[in-house]
Amino acid sequence: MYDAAHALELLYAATGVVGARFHEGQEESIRSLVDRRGRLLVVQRTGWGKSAVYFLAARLLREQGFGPALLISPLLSLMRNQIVAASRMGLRVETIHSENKEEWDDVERALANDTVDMLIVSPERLNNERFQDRVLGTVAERTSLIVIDEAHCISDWGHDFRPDYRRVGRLIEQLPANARLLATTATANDRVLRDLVVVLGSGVEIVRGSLDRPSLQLQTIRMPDQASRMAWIAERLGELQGSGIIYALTVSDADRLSAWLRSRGFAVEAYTSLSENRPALETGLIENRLKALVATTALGMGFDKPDVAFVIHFQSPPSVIAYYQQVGRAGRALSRAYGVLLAGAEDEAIARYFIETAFPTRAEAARVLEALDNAEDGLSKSELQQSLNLRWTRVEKTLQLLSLESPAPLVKDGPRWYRTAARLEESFWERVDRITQLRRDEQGQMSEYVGLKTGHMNFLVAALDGEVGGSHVHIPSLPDTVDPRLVSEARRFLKSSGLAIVPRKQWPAGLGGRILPEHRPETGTALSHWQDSGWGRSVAEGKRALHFNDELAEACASVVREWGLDAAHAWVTCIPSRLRALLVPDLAQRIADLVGLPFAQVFDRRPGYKPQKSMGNSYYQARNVRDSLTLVTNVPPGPVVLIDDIVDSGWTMAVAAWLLRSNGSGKVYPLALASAAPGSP
Amino acid sequence: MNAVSPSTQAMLLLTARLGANGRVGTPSPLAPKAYYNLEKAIHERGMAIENLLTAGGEQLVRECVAPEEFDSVIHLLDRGLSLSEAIERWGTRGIWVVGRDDPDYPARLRTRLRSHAPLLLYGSGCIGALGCGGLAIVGSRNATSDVAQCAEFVGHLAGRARIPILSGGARGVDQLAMRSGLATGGTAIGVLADSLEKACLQSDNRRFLETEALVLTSQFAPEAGFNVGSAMARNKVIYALADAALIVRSDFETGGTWAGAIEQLRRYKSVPVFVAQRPADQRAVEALISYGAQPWPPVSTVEELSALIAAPRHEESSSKRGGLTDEANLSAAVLLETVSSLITPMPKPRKPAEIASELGVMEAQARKWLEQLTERGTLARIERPVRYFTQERQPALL
Repeated sequence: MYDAAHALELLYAATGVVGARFHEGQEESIRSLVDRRGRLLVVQRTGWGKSAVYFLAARLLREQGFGPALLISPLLSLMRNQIVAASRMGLRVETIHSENKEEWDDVERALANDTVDMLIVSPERLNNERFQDRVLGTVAERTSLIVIDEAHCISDWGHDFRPDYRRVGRLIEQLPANARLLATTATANDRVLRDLVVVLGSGVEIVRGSLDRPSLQLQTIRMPDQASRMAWIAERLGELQGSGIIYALTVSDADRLSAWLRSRGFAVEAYTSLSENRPALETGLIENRLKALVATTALGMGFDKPDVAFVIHFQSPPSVIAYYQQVGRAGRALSRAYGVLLAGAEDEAIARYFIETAFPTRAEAARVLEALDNAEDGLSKSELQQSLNLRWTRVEKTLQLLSLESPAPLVKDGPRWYRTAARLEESFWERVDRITQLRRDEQGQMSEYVGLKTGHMNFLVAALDGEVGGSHVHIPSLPDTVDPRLVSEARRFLKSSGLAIVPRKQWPAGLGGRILPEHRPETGTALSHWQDSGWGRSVAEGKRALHFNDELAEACASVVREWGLDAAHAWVTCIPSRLRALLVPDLAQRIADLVGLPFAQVFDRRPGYKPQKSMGNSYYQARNVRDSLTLVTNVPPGPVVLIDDIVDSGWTMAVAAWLLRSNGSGKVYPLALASAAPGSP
Repeated sequence: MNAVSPSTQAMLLLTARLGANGRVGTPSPLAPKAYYNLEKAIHERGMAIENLLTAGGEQLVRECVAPEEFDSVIHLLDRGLSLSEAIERWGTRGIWVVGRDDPDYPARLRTRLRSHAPLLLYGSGCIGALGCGGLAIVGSRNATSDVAQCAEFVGHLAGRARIPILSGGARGVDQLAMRSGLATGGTAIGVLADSLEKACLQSDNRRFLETEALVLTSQFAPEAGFNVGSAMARNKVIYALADAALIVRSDFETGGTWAGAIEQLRRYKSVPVFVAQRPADQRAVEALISYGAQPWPPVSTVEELSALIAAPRHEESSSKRGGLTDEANLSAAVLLETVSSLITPMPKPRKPAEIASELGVMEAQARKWLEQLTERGTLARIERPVRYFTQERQPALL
């Protein structure tokens, strides 16, 4: 039975504060879960203390001899500081996610020995076959409490589309009535709430609190140009008290913005899905050793720092609810904090890109299903690549989304994909259209928010169907002006920072195995992102005018000079094009002249070469280059600068380097004007 | 797939291996006998099995099982996540599960097999097809060419006559008959002893599942592998779902076909059983006939087959009744037909008491008629409270 005094002791232990009190609703929620096998939906803003509810309930159930609790959360790597709090009350929490593979064996052993009180997994992991076989089979037999974090993702009307939650929703629906269940979210509007009640069952108890954040001073500034926004942040960062978070939409934006701010003397770091030392970065911010983290959405809900003094958005997020969630990280335990949204010209294009690539097209789905239909015994990944001239990420997306339907038209069994007897229902496409339309509406709502002069918080609360009309802090908003000298600095910075071209290490399946290190190129440089506000526009302009300007040639030359190649033997070559035969060789010749190296056109294209753009995936791209690129003269022996205008998949560079090196050249240094590789958050 | 009912959830939790296959000290699921004892104790308290999953569930367990079993039953019921994982996995693969108390559960199994009716039934395809009867075609796995020919020919005729073919889906006679019936545009029901999940993905089954010509079903968990006991246990289900059965070939006193046939002829007696004449198996054929099987007449047209299968349907209820004179039998049959015409169609489920007062007879008599009409498939029965309604006889399959 629930023991109130004991629960309080545990709360003291978790918070480290003797005399700590439960927030309104917390204790009732815990009691309901422990004593009444309750089903609970908690809708409370971030910071209310949802984790206290499930940690305490899990601990109390364990004390009564029940099995471990299972927490399903999309952002588990970010719950580190909460896990510390849990351990203070003696709760043994383990996580299994794609980034801690080396710990899986230990966690599996601990689970088998029953020394884990709560297991945290991502919905993707939960749907993973290996996880189901090796871990879930054991845990699910005695899970005492199931917690669904970010439960709004279960609803199609949630602002946050995560395909794997579709299966989570069905799992919940099929749970017998005696299973203890807690669903939590900070961002459920009435419509999402209705969906959740259907999934959770009519007996669900709802605990809903106010969404208002009176301590936040919100403002929006439209500033189309990236360089201006970089300058604005650099100008304001020094004036802002305390530390905070700066959000960007893509990894490369976060990387560049943080590099720029560091170059201006600020203690900032990028925090993205590619950062290797994320726990250390979080600690750096928590302990205020960093002024800010420049983060993508990888820095998510679980991050719990009560004194975040500001949240600045370098670009606008796809919806106001996503924005509310991100900006809500500021000022939880402060009487005032800033939330500033800088809206740029590229925001809409980025949002559109994510909306348009979120689902497979009808044609993609039909082709994947047809390929599987024709297979006698299913298809493996490499067999799918070879039978479909489609970008692998597209095939993967199709497989993922269709396999999450029920009944599913295709399923994965071991390493192979199989067609089932189920049709892909028209309702699937209706859903796709509905969600796509919802995303567009959200985009519209976002730009409405950007245009607001006042009433920002009320707008956000209303978007969530919360109660509007609380009183808000009145502190002066930040100036929307920017120092033009700083803007030109930022522009120069953008032009001088290149992007790494990372060499391919493996040929696509079906075309050979590992690429020998002595046949690979070195890590090269792309001057810009395709159409970014540094060199990007000059590159696009050059492609149209069939001439790259001298500034670009000079920028390339300065990259080559930094490489410090052996001037006596090094040389320059380029990737030929049949369509625009002179465009790249002309640029390469000028670069060679600028750095004082000889230029040699050693490559040609065989007839029948198709534009690389039309090749769907690695297999076809690599084969297309391999079959068409050819050496026409002897290869000089020294190190060589290999120039192309745009790099995308990297297969052209890989094949060219392989040809050069296996025919006696020295090291190969790829250099391109722009990278067209799509960004990721 | 439709949601799994609470009673079926409880049955699965108590009797099925779900996730961990007995690892981590999970208590073993209840054996059938232990389950029925528990169910009986629950019914005696005026409750249903799904009450185990409600607020008073723990108390109910305490009252209904021995104290030393309490912990393990509670533990079984606490496997909620394992259960929903399993249902979800099956659902994704197009596999449904029904329990004996569900309205979709084939009434034939309930009435013909009574306490031996499988508690749970899994399947893929149109579940309503399991209430439509058909011709069971069974025989051994090793089919010589004349046996194969017989299986294929009867399968072909049944397909053309639109008589569903029921079989065990095994190699040999089973598959030959089913394939041949499906090839002529007919329908088939495979009652599998194992590996339902794999069977649903096999490309030759998939085609017919897609067009709803084929239904695969099994009383064993979809992922369960082959086991001789299972193969024996499913024989009675094949017979119970059929209107008539043809044994194409059986060994004498040995093998699954023989065992299934004897069980049907001596114990359940729910359908007429025919046996194909085959000189090489003379001993088996004669023995089966001595147990009550009929020699398979020379059927060579669709009409002949239809007549043969249709006839026993009407005789069924009377042929089973022993101890009565033929005349009494006949008048009882006429009376039953009259009752049937008076009360059907009955789309909305009604209680025996209502029917009794309408017909002006004792409730016990009304119950008897209703049971008989249910047995022959005119009506279907649902529980708690017991009610009857008209069974849909023309679902998507035909």
